[in-house]
Amino acid sequence: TEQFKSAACHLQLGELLQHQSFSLYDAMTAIEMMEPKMDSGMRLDREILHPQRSAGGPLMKLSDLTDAELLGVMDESLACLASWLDGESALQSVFINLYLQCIDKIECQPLRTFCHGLLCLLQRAKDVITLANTTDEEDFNPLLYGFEAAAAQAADDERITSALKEADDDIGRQVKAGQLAAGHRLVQHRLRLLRSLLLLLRQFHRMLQAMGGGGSADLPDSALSVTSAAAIDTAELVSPAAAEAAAEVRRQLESASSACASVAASLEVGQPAAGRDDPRLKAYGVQGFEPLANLRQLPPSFPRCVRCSSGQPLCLDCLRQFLTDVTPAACPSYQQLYTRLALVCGLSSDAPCFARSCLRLLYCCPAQQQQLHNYGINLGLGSARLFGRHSPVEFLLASVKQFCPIAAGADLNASVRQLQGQSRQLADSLCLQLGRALLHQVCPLFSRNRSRKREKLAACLDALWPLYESCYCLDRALFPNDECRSLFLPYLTFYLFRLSRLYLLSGFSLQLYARHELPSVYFMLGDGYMYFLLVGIVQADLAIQQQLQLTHNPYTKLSRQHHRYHQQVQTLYQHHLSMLRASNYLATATFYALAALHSDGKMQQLPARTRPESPAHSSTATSPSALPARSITCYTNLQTMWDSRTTFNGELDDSELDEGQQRKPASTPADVYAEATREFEKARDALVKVVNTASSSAGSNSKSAPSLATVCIEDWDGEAMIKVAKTNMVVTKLLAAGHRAGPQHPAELDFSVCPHYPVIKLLAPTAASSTAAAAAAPSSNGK
Amino acid sequence: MEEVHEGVRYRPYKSELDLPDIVGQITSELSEPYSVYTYRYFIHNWPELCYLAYDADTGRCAGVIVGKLDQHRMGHLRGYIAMLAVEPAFRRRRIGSHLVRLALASLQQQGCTEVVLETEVTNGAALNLYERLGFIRDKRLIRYYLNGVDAFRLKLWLA
Repeated sequence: TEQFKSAACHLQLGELLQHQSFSLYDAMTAIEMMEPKMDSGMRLDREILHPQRSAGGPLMKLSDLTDAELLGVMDESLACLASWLDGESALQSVFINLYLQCIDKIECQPLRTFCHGLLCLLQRAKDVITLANTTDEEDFNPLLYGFEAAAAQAADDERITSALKEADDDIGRQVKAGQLAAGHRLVQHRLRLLRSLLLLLRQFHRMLQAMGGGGSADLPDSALSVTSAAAIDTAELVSPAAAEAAAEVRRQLESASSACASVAASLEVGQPAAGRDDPRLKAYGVQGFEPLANLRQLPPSFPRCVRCSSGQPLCLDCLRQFLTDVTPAACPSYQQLYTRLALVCGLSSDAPCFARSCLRLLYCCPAQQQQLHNYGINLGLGSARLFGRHSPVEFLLASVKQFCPIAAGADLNASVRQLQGQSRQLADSLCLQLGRALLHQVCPLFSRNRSRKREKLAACLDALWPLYESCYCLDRALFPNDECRSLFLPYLTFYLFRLSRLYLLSGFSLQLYARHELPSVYFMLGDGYMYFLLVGIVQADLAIQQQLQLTHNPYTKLSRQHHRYHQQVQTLYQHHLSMLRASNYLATATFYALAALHSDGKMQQLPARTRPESPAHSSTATSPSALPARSITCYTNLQTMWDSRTTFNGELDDSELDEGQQRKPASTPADVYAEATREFEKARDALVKVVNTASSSAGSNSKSAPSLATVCIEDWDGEAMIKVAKTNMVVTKLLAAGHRAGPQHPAELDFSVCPHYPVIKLLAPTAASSTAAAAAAPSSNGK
Repeated sequence: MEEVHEGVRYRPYKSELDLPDIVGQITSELSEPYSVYTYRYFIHNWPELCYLAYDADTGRCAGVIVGKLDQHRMGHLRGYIAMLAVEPAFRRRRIGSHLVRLALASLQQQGCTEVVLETEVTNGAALNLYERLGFIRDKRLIRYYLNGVDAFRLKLWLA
């Protein structure tokens, strides 16, 4: 140090000593000691518990714990486990229980067994989450910070579950014999809960193994048919081993749920007694818990509050809903597969990481083959399969056929197989890419982490956009003599624009849009996308449908069956299109309303400024070949449309607008309000129709089947949108009639009713708005 | 080069002698802890992107901005505003905006095509400042800061 100091004296101002293996960039990770913001030790303003020094003391008893103390430790441990599964670091949650760091010293047998069981459960849960690979950094922190060895030692769940049973039985015997207080029966509930959770995970793993290994890997062509008319041997659908394992999982789920309920009913027993004034216990109040014990092992961070959670440790309700109603079997029809996928997506949207991981492993085993092999799961063909049975290509072809049933014809699979040479290669490659993209990228979009979801949507769009041209080429290869017929192109376009719409909508929940960006967002949600979503996509099928109707002969049985078949299969996606159309009307109406509010002076901060990233993601905008030409035209129409509705100088030039977007000459904001009113009315009617249709179809299905209308259109809340449409329709109608016109009655947008579409609220006049109105009076109405 | 604008003198970083002013401003205004090496990393590598503002009358340090310029993985040059702080007594005088404009001009001179920064979602003043300058909210970063608060990544395209 002295040598260093004397050498440093020779440095000039601004000169630095730097070692080649330790740059300034590396030095940024340095922590200044005694700096309160950086040195976590400065927060230690009291004596803290230590696993070695405090063990056996009054604050960390190793034996003779009362039933309340024992319950407190166990309940707090389960709450910490739930917190860890919710994204907290293990050091600040699970391992603040110092008993886990000195298990062998614990003399109280139930507590010792419980701690072993907790570590085992931690390791098992971590295995499931790591295997599923569906979490992001913020959702789950897998690091155990040096406690891996302790967790690995407790990984023998068969031994642990036996020990838990033994401890449970021992307590029962001792309570009966009067050796232990009756309150120890509550301890038995905790031990049973832990045991049932471990058994559940064990059975779950067995079920995954059975799903991957049993039954016929290749289902016949008639499997996953669009209608249920195909005759399929049901023995092929269910693997006996998988069915048996699933039944066992359900039993364990019920057992765990029942134990969970018992624990929840007695939580207050273990909580620290009120009024305890021992300063040493003020920190936490539970034996052996020290939230500051591991602080120095973490980077500088504020300790997060970890308190008893009333939620279940492994989110059993979510799993129960899925496993009770869905057997791990192949699906005989596309409708059933679609419904099941919709259920998975719907449950995943709000499920914590553990439940989401289980769902992911059920519907689509991950691609890490080596990991799967290590865990004893054999996928057979070495590629991911839906629910262990359906290949991505099979899913894709059924999905395409469902989307464009008339253009697809009777046997799409055969048509694809009949292609030769380069066309066949293109078909194989495209089907695999598209199928995998839809399975591996679309389904994991449904998670609670909305920020990452937006990034994943962007990545998904990046993956799908380049396939646009390939889809066009494949359509031409399949139907060389019929240019009107398109299959893969409209299907891909549908998904691309649906994902683009989701990408735009995701910005609302993340509060990414400033007020001046709202017009461009609503424009894209309305006319920008929907114009050729609704025209381009269904064009091919509609043309053929019209042709079929012309040739339909109601007097022949075959023709009537044929006609009925096509009517049935269209229901699935027709409903989607109806929902999208209704959303389109509402977005367009909101755009017009914003234009009117701006021109009326009620919202001055609304000049339409577009984001450089358009239409959905910045990279897509730089590849014009990937975008249909109309989309660029529509996008550039935004500024023109905005200007034409907010500038009133008596000269209107709508010539640049597409037909249908041109409007009649208007001279006042009242006309634009009237236009907005008409659009809101259209939106209301369309939304009411969609919601009524969804209600009637949901009523006819079993109570557990998700509504297709709500699950697969993200963030759809039909009732809220209807409320917005109705309210705004009234407001714009009043404004069109001249009620509270002008800037002296400012308006604001209220997103509390619906997160994506605001309710327009007129505010009381303020001094500022009155002054502004007076200043603007000579040039009001743009004249 | 120095300039005086509305009673405030702006000048680029000169030497280590400016470091106490920079550290003092940032430490008192920002919630995140930085070691002296963090400041040195930015101002030694990119001194031309560090500007200080002083009250022309009293000579008191009013504000500071620190930034960097790097090659993004996509190949283009991306600027980054690491720190911006204005003394509370000198706020609402557009000092922060002016400091940002100086940094942006310097970045643009060096061929930068986009500029990013992070700020807390609750920092309304910073969000207003940057959005007035044309920044948009590009991403939301969950639990970005040490106190658990989310952050917005703001982005401005210069090209």
